[in-house]
Amino acid sequence: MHFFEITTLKKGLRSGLSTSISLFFIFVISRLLVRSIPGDPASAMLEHLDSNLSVEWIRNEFHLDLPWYESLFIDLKKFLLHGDLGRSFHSQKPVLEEIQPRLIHTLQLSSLALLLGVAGGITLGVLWAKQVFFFWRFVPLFTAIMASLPTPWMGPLLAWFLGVELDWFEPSGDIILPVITLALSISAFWTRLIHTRLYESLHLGESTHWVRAARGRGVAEWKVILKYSFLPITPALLAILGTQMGNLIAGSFLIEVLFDWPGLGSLFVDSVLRRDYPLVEACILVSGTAAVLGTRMGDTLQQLADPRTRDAEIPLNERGLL
Amino acid sequence: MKKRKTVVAASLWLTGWMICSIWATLFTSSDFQLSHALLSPQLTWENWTGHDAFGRNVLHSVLRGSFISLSFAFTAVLISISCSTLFGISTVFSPDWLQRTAKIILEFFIGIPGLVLALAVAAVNGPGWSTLLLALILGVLPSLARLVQSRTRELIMEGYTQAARALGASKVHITRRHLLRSIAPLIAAKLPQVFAHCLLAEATLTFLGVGAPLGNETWGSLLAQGRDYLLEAPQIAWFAGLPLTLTLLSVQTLGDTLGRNQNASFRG
Repeated sequence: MHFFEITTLKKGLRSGLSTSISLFFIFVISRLLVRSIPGDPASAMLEHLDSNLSVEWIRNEFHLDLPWYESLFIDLKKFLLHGDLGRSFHSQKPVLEEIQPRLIHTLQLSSLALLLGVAGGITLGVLWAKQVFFFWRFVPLFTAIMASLPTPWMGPLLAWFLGVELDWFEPSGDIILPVITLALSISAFWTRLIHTRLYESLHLGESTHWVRAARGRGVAEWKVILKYSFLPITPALLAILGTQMGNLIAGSFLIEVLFDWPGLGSLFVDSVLRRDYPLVEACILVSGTAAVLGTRMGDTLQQLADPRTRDAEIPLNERGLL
Repeated sequence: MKKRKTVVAASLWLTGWMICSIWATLFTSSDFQLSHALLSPQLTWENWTGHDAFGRNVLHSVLRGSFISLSFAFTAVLISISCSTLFGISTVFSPDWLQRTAKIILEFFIGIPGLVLALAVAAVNGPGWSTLLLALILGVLPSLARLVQSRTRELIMEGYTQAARALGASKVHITRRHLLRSIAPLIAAKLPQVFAHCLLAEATLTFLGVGAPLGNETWGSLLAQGRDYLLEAPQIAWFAGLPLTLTLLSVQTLGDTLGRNQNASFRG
């Protein structure tokens, strides 16, 4: 199979290498963060903490007496060999132990929202591009309003309306409201995306030829839409899906704070405000890693689905990044 | 015809709101009026937008806050645009390896979500104006610089730029005469989107408590106050959020129209 050709292998190795370099960069940034605190980092850290740690302990914990490359090396070794990222200032528990349940909560929230949002977005996008019923006229309005509704305003209002006035869901601590809020904004993005791409594929460019040919052969209209205009654009959509999956961990941060959902985002914001540096570092590492891996996964999926993109560099806007 | 109406409505809203916010900044005070803080949150005819927790008129607060937010976002956009243009153009004139490195670094920063970068900056610097500015710039600069860089690389291959180089024109001359003039419309089309992004990012970061320092009136802090008093005084949330939504909607409408005209002129 062409799958195992040498060039494919080479390309795979190269993309694996560039991914590892990106991940290493993220690790370096998260570790050097502490050293860039203005003034003497250890005493500056202690100033904002309400705990009985000593300056020596912090200096020792972050290896602040050693040059940065040596401490980086020690940290990398500790992380790779023992899975050790230090202990939280506040709870004194290992950082990874703190993060793990939070990450699972965030993944639950974001995957559910992504599923609902993408499904809704594809449906609305097809309706809009095909101009079905009178209903499609409301779709552009919906996307325009959703694109300009600030989440810190929409979240509380939704919680008030659905949670207090109508009393359908728990206003905080429940998964339904954050999922709805997140899914609404995701679906608006996907509606716009699907509409633009479907419109292009139905009315512009070379794809119109095979669409017209299919219609001429008497293929049913729903099949024309699905097979001849939606299927050809799926590779590019997969790439954007991957990027969005990676970015969603960060994308759900605000929602988690709004609805008191005990995910990674609320942990991140709390530890930034409480100056719990070991936790901040780990949160940057985890969310950055998720973003890099998501983008890479999207690229790989696109290259598997669309042979033409295997040799070419995938432009940033096809990865949903521009 | 219908499009034109929405554009007129959007520009009217933007200019009207800006004039009002400048008026509020000049002629109303943000001093606490604690005697008003004990008034019932119920709305009265004299003051139909009510008072906030510190006894200030909500509408005046929102107007003053939006002036700060708008000018702050505008500053961030100006700095990012000038830096990214400078960066994008100067990398194209530099040696190949530097171009490649710049590209890798830019793509690395584009790939990391803006909120993560912003929180990292806040962790080092502590919440404050400089943190907010840095976070906003970090959020938009990499993708803008990437855009400028790729467009400049196309332009430098064009016949007229090659001709200018062959005639011995200096880099500064080529940049001023050919590159900047072709890049300006591209950036102008991107401007509303970037501005809306900065406005929204400021509101989000301040809302989370890592943006503007406590006690400052900005859109983000007013949204946070609106959330805190949503049940007792819902008018704070409405009067802080609705203008922000309308402003973002107007900016995006203008941006869409601008982008469409841009595409038309490219095609023509």
